[in-house]
Amino acid sequence: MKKLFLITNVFLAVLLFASCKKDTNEFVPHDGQQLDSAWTTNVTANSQVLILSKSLEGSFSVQEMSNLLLDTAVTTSTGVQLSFPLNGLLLNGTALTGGLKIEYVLLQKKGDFIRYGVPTSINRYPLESGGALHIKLTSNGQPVTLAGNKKLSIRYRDAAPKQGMSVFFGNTTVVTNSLLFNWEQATDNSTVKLWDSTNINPAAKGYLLETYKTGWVHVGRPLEALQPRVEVKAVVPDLFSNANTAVYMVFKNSRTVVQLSGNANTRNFSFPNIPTNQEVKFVAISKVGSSYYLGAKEEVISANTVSFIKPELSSLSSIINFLNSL
Amino acid sequence: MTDKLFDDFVKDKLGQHNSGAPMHVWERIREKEKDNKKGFFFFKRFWLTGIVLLTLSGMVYLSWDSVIKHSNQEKLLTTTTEQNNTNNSNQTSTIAQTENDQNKAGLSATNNNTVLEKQDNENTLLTQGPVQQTEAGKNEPVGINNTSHSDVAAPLKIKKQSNALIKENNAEINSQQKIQADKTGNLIHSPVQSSEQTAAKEFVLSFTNMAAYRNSLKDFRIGNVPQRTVGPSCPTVNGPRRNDLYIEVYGSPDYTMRSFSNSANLNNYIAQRRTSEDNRNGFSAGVRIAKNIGEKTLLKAGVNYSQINERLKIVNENEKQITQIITIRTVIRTPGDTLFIRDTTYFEQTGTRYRTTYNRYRFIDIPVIFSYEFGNPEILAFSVNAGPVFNVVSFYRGEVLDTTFNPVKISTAKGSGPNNWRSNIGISVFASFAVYKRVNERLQIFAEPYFRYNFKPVTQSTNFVNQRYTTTGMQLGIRYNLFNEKQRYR
Repeated sequence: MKKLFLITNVFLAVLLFASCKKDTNEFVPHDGQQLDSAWTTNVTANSQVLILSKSLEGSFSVQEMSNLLLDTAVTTSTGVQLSFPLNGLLLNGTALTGGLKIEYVLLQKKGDFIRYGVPTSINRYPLESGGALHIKLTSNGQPVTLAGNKKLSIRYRDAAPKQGMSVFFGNTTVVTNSLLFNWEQATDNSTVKLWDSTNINPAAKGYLLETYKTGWVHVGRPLEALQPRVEVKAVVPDLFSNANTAVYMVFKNSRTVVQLSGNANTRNFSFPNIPTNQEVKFVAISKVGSSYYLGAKEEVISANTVSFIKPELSSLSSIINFLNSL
Repeated sequence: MTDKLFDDFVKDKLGQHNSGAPMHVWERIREKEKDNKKGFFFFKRFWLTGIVLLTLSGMVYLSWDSVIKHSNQEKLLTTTTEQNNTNNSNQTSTIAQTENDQNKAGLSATNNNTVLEKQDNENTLLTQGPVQQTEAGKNEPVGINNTSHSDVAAPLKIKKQSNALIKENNAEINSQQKIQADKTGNLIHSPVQSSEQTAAKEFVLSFTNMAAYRNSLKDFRIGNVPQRTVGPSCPTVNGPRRNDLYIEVYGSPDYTMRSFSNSANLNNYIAQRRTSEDNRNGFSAGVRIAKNIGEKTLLKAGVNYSQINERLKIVNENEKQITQIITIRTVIRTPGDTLFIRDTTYFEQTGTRYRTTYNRYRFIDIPVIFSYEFGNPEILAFSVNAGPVFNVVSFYRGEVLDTTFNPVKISTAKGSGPNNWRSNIGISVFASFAVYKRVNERLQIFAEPYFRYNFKPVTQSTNFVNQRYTTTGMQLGIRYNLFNEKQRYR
């Protein structure tokens, strides 16, 4: 009898449990669509923030020269004038006699420093920029270098050239992570001078740069600091992290752009040695999944500046347009 | 009053008689019954039990004919002797002549609790006794042992075996009686006088008053009762009446069949429904009262809960998902200067969504079932059942696809959508065939394959798609006789 009731109970229990399956609703993101809001101590090439930087990067202008002996000075469509020394270019250690391909870009807008990933800072100190150039010389795909003691003269316009500029070189020719990029002051007698041509119409002025190196070349000077320097911090919503977001600080009154570095422990971005009372604009750009976010916020740097920046859903083109407008 | 008199009469005459059968016989019978019960439940798997029950019912059906034929054959071989009612000193007995091989072998067998056995090297035979109805609603035989040697005075033995008595008295041999009659009216054994003579006298115990009862009592002593070859041997007062009231509890795994009726322009929609929604079967359980309204007919009514399970599976390969992320942070710039951050950000992803919803359609019904029973309740009984099922309430949980192939929750609210379902599906028709196996005096287990057809769809009548379910299953349960001790002879 007991056995019969046991069997009956087990039978009914099986029936009940069989009908107790739970509903499921599973969303599997496509490749590249995963939500990754975790902070990291090591941003890699797979991190969304570097993928975003690559997407923002602008193109380089190209100028071809068929006979270098006849054309030692080149004026590009952007107004940059390049003067090459005679017999000053080497191809595989010998004087270049053939054609020359010049790839270059001149960065003068603040947003360009963000797009190309070359913020104006040296050893975590902000620089005021007079413009940055990237020059790449090749001949038939082979790199062309400057001969010893031969300098390349570059003259470009600047609406408000500043005195006291120096020459800086980038620590790398190819930027993969802007946080690792750093300007280094030239120690090879490269010089920069101001030029002002009032006898031409319209009048023009700018910088005359004489450099012994190609690659990233910067005309700048340390940002003047009349006030104490402080560390500035920025906080973003939890959706964003240093793995998918880059935060920049764009100075309003000088051509200065610095990138704040993320701290996985404190979950904020920061940059030291910023003079107080500076009017700046925080710019946060993010890529989460396939979505782009852009946030901007103006602040005046104070002794304990912690700014909350909220990136909003945007698009890649909108971000580029915004950066170009800075 | 009359019941008590009759019971007293039986107790008075049979209570002190020795059965004459060795004790080990009953022990063997009891052990065999235990073995049989164990044998029935040796299955550890319920599905196997279900299959076995189905197989068993088929086997019983096939063997039933042969059982009937065998019974008829025995009847043909059985003759009765006359009973001398005028001289009590010469009691007659019923001589049973069975097949010679059984006679020689002294076989022991059970059929309606009738025992065939060999005793003390006598070729004692047991007739296939007439069948009488017992209190438990069972057909219980009375067997009469007699010697096969008609010229030798042999004790007249009336064997009556009752499982109930065996159980209650722990195998005491109360159910087996050895009866003898002497001149004073006591029953004694007597030689068989004639195997050709049969009794034709009608014996009736009168319970109208005490005097009539005593007058009729002496003519009604055991041994004087004519033993008919077929039919009850016990005296009938108001006739054997069945008065059973059962309570049945059951559960059933159900298989449901779904059908749609729709216009042709919705064929694609219905095809998508069939693809995305698959049957997960269901189950039902219930309790019902069964009362006999005749010897073989019963009326059953109760409450039945049934559940149909389906699974809706949707795969959307290009779905955008927006995730809401709430940020609550507190940043202390300096003591006394705290930045409180409260923010909600939305994040959009593209991916594939796998959505599985287990739909459950539940129904509470009142079945009213007419049942006709047949077979032998001591071994296996059967019944055919049919009747209406009245839905009390229907309620649903789950989702179905709408015409845009998006899932919508099933609701009983009025509307014309495919998700607007009925809160009451009305009347259904139920039909089944049941097999009963006796466990003890009161308890039976049963297996009942059934079929249920719903006249109305689950969807509302205004819907453009009618969705209907038909259910079949196997009810497995127990039934308990509430009136087991209160019937038969009044």
